[in-house]
Amino acid sequence: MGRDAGIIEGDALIPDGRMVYFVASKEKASKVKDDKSVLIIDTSFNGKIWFPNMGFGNDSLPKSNSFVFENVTAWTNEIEGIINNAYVIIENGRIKYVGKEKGNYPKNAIIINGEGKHLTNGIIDEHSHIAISKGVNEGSQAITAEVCIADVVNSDDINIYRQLAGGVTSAQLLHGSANPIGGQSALIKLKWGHRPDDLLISNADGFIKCALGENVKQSNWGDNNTTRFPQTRMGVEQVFYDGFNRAKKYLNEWNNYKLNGGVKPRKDLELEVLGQILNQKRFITCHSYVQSEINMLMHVADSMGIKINTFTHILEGYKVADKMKNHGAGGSTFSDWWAYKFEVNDAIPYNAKLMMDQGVVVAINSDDAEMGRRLNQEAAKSVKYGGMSEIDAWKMVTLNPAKLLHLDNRLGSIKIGKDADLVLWDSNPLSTTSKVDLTMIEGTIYFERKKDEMLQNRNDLERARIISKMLKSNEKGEQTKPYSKKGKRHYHCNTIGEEGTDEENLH
Amino acid sequence: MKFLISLFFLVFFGLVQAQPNRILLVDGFLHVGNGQTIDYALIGIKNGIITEVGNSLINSYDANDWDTIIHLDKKHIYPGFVAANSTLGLTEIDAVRATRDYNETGSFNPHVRTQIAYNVESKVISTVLTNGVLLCQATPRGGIISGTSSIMSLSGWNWEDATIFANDGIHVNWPSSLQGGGWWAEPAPKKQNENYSKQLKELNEFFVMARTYANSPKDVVEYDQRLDAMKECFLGSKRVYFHGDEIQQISDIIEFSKKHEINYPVVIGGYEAHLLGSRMKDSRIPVMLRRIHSLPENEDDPIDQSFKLPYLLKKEGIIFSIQNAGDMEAMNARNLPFQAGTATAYGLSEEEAIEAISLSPCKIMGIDKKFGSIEKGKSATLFVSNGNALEMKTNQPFLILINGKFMPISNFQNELFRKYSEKYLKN
Repeated sequence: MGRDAGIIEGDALIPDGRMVYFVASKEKASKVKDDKSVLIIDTSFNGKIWFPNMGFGNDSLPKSNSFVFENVTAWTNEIEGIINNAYVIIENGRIKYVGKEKGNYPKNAIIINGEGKHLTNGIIDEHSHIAISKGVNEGSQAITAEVCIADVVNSDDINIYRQLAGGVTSAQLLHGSANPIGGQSALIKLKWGHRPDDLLISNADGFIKCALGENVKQSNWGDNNTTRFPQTRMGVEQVFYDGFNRAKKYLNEWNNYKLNGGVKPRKDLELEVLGQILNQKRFITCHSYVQSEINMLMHVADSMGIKINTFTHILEGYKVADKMKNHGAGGSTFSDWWAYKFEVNDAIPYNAKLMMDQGVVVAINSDDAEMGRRLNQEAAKSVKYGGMSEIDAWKMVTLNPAKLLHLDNRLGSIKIGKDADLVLWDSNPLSTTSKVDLTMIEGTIYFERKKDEMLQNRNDLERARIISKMLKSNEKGEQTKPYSKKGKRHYHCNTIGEEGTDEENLH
Repeated sequence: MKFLISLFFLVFFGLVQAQPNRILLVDGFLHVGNGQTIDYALIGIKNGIITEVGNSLINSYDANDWDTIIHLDKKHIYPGFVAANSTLGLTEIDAVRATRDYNETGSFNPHVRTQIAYNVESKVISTVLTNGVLLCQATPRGGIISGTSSIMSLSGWNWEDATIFANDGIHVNWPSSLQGGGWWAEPAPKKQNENYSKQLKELNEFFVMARTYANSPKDVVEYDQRLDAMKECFLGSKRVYFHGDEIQQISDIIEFSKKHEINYPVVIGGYEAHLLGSRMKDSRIPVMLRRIHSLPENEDDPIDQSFKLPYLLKKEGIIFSIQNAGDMEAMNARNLPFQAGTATAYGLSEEEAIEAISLSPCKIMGIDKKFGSIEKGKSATLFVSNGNALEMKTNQPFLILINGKFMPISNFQNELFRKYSEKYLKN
C-alpha cells in the first residue's frame, strides 16, 4: 500500500470476492473507488450440495439425453473418414446414426446445430495419473503387482473437470515407475460428479503397469539409493524372469492341488496377479525408453508365451518398430518430450510417425495433468513432425488408445452402436486455437462451455458467501482460523509419495 | 556467385554454405512483430542488417543490387522468437547433475553470470532453433538473487560469439507470501508465510547496501563483487527481474521498486498481476507472463485462467510478454510459438501474440533497437515458415537467418528420422 500524507491507497479484496482499487483519507471513512453495483450477500442460508461437492460441481447428477447433431463435420475414425454436413443421432447413450441423411429423430431429442463445428470421439489418455488418492508408487519392493489403482480412484480431482474441458472422456490411471512391476491400473470415464466406483469402466480387461530403465534402477534418486536391486538394465531383466518363473511355479502348485489334492498352497496376492498375466487375463503396459530394454522385455515375454500389450513412453520405439510389430506390441508415446534424463537423449518427435508406418498401433499420451487437457494439440504435432495425415493424427488420441486398452469395440470411433462419448469443437480439433463446446459421455453432457461460465460465477458467489459468513461470525467473536490455501497435487511417473519436487517428477 | 531462388527448399543448403550478404526477400507475408503485417513484402538485407522493408507492388528493386533474391510466394515471415527467462544452453539433460549449470549455491548471487556458462553447441538448442525461436535470455535459477542473465543467440561458435547483450539484468526470487506444510504423504494446505516480512527485510537490506554502494564515490567504498553487479540497476539500464505470481508479491514489488529507485523493474510470472489493474499499469512495470500451457493455481480458478492471462493483462493496459519457464523448460522452449498460439484463442489477436514473443520481450529486456521486429536498421534475425508458425500443424520454418546468416534447418532429431526411415525402406 502506498502512503502519501494522510491518504491510504491500495488494492483490496472485498467480501464479495472482487479486487478493488481504493483511496482513503484518514479523517473520513474509506471510500471505494471503481464501485460497481453493490452485491448483497445472504449469509443466512447454508450452501447447496454439489456433485462433487466443490467448485465446478454439478447442481444435480447430469442425466443422459437423446441428441441430434445437425450439419456437423464428423471425424468418424472409420472408413468414411471426415463427413461434412453430417447428422449424428444419439439415443440411450449410444450412437444410433451417423451419415448424410436426416432420418428420424428420437423423441425429445436435443437438437444441436453443428454448423461450422467439428464432432469427434472423446479423447482417451492411455497414460494418466489424475484422479488418484495419495500416491502413485507403492515402490516398497521390485514387484508390487498386488496393489490396484481402482481401489484409490479420487472422483473429486478438479483435473477431471479440466480434462473434460479439453475433450478427454476416458483415461487409464496408472501407477508410477518406481519399480519394475508397479501395480494394476484403473480404466475410467471422466463422469464428473459420480462416485469413484461409477467412474470405472465395467467389463474392461485388466492392465498392469511395468517399468524399465532409469526410474526402476533409481538412477536419479541421489547417492543414497544405490543398493536396491535392480541398479542396472541387466538386473531389471532378471527381476522379470524371477517374477514370472515364481508365478509359473505358483500356478503349477495350484493346478496340482486342484488335480491331486494334498496340502492347500498358500495364497500369494502378488503371484496371483503375475499368474493372470501368464494366463493372458491381464495385460502389460510398460514404461520404457531405450531400444535395448524394449527388445529385452519382448524376449522375456516371448519366452513366457505372452505379449507385451503396450510400451508406454517408448521414445526409442522408432528404432525397433519392426520388432515391435512382429511381437504385436503397441506404442503409447509423448509427442515431443525429451532431454529430461539421459535415457531420452535419442528421443525424437518423429517417433509416432515412424512406429505407425511400421504398422504399430500408436497412441499419444499425456502422463501429465496439464498436457492431458491439450492432447488434441499434442496429436497435431504429428502433422508437423513427419507429416502424418490429420485423420491418422487424430486417431493417435482416440481410436488407437482405445485399441491399446481393448475398448475399441465400444470406444474410439463414431460408429453405430458405440458409446456416445463425443466432443463438439468450435473448429478443427487439431488446431492450436480449437476449443471444446461440449463433452458428453454415454449421451450425458459433463462439460459445456456456456455452463462453465455460469459455474465460474457461482464459484465467486459461493466464495463471497463463505467469506461474508466468516466475517459475520468473526464479528460475533466466534472462533477464527488462520488463512490457508489448498495445495496442488500432480503426480508423474516418478513421484514418490504425494508431491514430488521438480527433480523427482521424472516421468 | 549469384543465387536466384524460387521456392525450392533444398537450395537453402547451398545458402548455408555460401552465406551471401546482400539478400532480398520478395513477396512473403510479413509479420513485422510490432502488430503490423505487410503482404507482398520486400525485405532487403545487407551485411546482416535490414536495409529496407517495403511492398513489392509499390516499391521496385534493382536486381543488380542483390547477390541473392528469394521469392517467398506468400510464405510467412516472422521476426525470430525470443525465449526469455530460460535455462536453454545452461542445461543439457535435466536429470544429470553434471549438465546443469544454472543454479549456484548461496542466496545472494547477483555476480554470477550465465553468459559464460552458455553452451551454444547444445543439442537442445538445435531443436529449438528449427521451430523459429532464435534468441534466448539465459537465466539463472535458485536462491534469493539467482544471478545475472544475458541475451544470447541460438547460433555461434562460442558464448562470446553468441552474445546479443551481456548482463541484461539480475533475477530476484521474491519470497512467497504463502508456505506449504505437512509431509510428503499428506501435504497440509498452504498457509501464510510467517517469515515473509523477515525475508523481505533481508532483501531490503541487501538493496539498501547495493544502492548505497552504487551511489558512493569509488574511492570511498571498497570493491565488492556482489554489490558491483547491482550498480547498473540503480545507475544504468540493468533490469531487475522480480519473479513472483501472487498479488501480495507483485504489490510489494511495485512499492519496493519505487522505494529503491530501480530504473527498470520487471515482473516475471505475474499470474495475479491483472488483479492490480490500474496500479500495475501506472507503475509501468512490464510483466513477462508465465507459461500459458499451465494449470490454474487454485482449484476454483477458471479452468482456462492461464490461457486468458495475456488478454487479461492487455485489457488492463499492462505491458507484457510471454515466456515459457517451468518443467523441462529448455527442451520445451521449442513450444513457445504454440503458447502464444493458444493465447490467440483466448482474446489476443495473431499479431499481438507474435509481438508477445518477439518485440515485447526485446523491449522489456532493452534490445528492441536491434532485435524483435523486422524493421529497417534492425538485425536480420528472422525466419520463414510454410504456414502459420503459431499453429502446431503448420509451424515449418524452412529459411532461418540470425544476424543475416543462413542457419541449417536440420538437427540431430530430423537426422535420426531420416536414418531410421531409410532403415525401414531398405528392409
